[in-house]
Amino acid sequence: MTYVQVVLNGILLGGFYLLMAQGLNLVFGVMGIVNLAHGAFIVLGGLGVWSLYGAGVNPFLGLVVVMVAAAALGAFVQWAVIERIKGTAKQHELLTLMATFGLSYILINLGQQYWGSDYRTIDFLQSAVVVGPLRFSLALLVGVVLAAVITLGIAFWLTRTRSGTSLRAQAQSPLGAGACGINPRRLRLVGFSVGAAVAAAAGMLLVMTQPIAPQAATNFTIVAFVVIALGGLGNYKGAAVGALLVGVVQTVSGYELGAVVQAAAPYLMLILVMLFKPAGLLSRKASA
Amino acid sequence: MSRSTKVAVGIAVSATVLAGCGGGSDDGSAGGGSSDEPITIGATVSLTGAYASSGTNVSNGYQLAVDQINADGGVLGRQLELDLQDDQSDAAVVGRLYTEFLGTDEVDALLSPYGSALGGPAAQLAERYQTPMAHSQTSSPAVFEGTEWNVMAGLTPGYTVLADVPAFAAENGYTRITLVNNDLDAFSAICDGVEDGIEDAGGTLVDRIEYAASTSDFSSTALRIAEGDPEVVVECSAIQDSIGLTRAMDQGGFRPAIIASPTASDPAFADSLGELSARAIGYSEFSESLGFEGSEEFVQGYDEAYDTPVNSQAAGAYATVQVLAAAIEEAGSTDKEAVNTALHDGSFDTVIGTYSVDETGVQTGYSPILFQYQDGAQAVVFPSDEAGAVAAQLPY
Repeated sequence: MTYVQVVLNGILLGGFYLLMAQGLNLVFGVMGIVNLAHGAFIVLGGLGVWSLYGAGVNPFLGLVVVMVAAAALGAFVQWAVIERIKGTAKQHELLTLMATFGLSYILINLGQQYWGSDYRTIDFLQSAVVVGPLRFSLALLVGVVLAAVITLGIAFWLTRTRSGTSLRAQAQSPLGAGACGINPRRLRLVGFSVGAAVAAAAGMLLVMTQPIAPQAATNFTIVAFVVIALGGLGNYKGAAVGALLVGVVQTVSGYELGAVVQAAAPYLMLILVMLFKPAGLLSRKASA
Repeated sequence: MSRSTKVAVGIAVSATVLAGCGGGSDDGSAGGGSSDEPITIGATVSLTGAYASSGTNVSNGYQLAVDQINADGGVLGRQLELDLQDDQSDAAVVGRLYTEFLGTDEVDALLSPYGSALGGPAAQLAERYQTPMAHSQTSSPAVFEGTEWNVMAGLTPGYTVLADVPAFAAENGYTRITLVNNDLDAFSAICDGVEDGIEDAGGTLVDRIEYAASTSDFSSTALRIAEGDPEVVVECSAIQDSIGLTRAMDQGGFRPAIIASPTASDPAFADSLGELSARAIGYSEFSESLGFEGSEEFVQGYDEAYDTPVNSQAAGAYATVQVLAAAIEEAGSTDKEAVNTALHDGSFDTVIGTYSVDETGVQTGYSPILFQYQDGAQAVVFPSDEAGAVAAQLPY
């Protein structure tokens, strides 16, 4: 029964990772923007919820507030920085990488100035749900539900709405999309805003499940990259599979081999996937 | 010496070489003779960056002690002048600032920056320029190995801080202990001390579980702990790990009789864990109830100056200035060699106990006490015959 508990813990953890990765999957996987500031958006969202919780605001209401604020910040970043970077697609990817690398440090430092460098968490939904001999963290259960809702929402938006399909179209062929009357600037603005808002939502869950500080932002960016790389860039089903796999492998390896191996497991998985299935776990054929 | 400390030392030494500064003062000329001029003490603290919170506590402690000593007439009839700079929690900045202090030979003595990672490079510069440095929050004995001008004045080595937990547990009828430690040297050292304490107290080590510093999910670790069914769990962990681990054990349905953490004294521990912090055990080097030299004046002054409760870091910093001032008094001058000798050979009363160091400058005089969160406050519970100690409320 302990093993069942370990695997279920991994699935819950995977849901949490999925939520962290979805914003990046949209911005990087769909729009082609290598957003190294993704973790900073997550952390600032979480710390925003922490501040609001301290002021007596329910974290779910706080979630709405930080998602709106992050969307606005994301829109500003897209308008003021990303949109102004010129060059070929390859140059653009490299330049946005460097720009968001700088942006991540600006956001981290602003976070440190405002919140300091102490780790913060909130004492909310910390009980466990007991089902027979099994126990589940309530915060992580909420996270799985939130991740599922957001994943389905983004998938629906990208595949079933005009703006979503237009966003994908302009990412694949900006010239062709423009010829069809699509306003690529506005779409990219919306896309980056949604990515930032989803990152902030992950921050809300994060601050309920573990203490966070601005300087920890980079770790979350890396975890998000691992998940979407495992699943295949822009592949929403793949990201879900990747996230669940990372979660389960981490808890099982942590239980069997110890927490030192647990910490290294996702990166080992990433190397293996890059070697043997570089297009992601759900790709039909390996790409060069 | 830990890897991070070695890197930090390397950065600082490089900074020194690049700065092209000359050797130190052999004659202690900054203020060796009698004078009416202030006695200058140089220090950096982390007012910004990763250690800003702790650095501010240290800064408050340093400044308050200097202000109170000056208000009482100073040292050797001279005022203390504290040159306090922000090192931004950055070892390279520490190297640059201490090089500036020492290269111009305008300081009579030094206080350390916050923590072993920054205290290490500062210690190397104090050696190079042969200027006494009193460390307030450098807990790693490795920093002091091979040095002659550095002393640990504001805390005890990490090895000792929870070493009494097994004796405390045995006194309350619990002997089966599991240790969980972050794999950084500083945390491993804390668990090493507890492990030796288990042997001395006649307890049993059920398991010792190590985890990587980057670990954030403790669900599997909690399950492994529960399988051993220990009565006592000692978390040799950073604050964020202690919070995560304590929550994971609770959510996994496992509650040992005693939980102890070196970071329990951090206000974030109780704030974050809420009811789960009740009855947890931590350590402190300062409690007003212990009644050490100047405690009342320190607590009152701290409250007036900063309008916030005193904490162990500020107390350690305050004690460090007390030690340095007493050493200058004992030396009878600010001659660096004489002050250094007094720091190494002397024994001085402070707010955290009676200071003394071994031949390497590592603290031997202070004895940390164990406290327990009772009704939201930290109550001294061990040694049980300590002034102000109360009965422990167990199980956790």
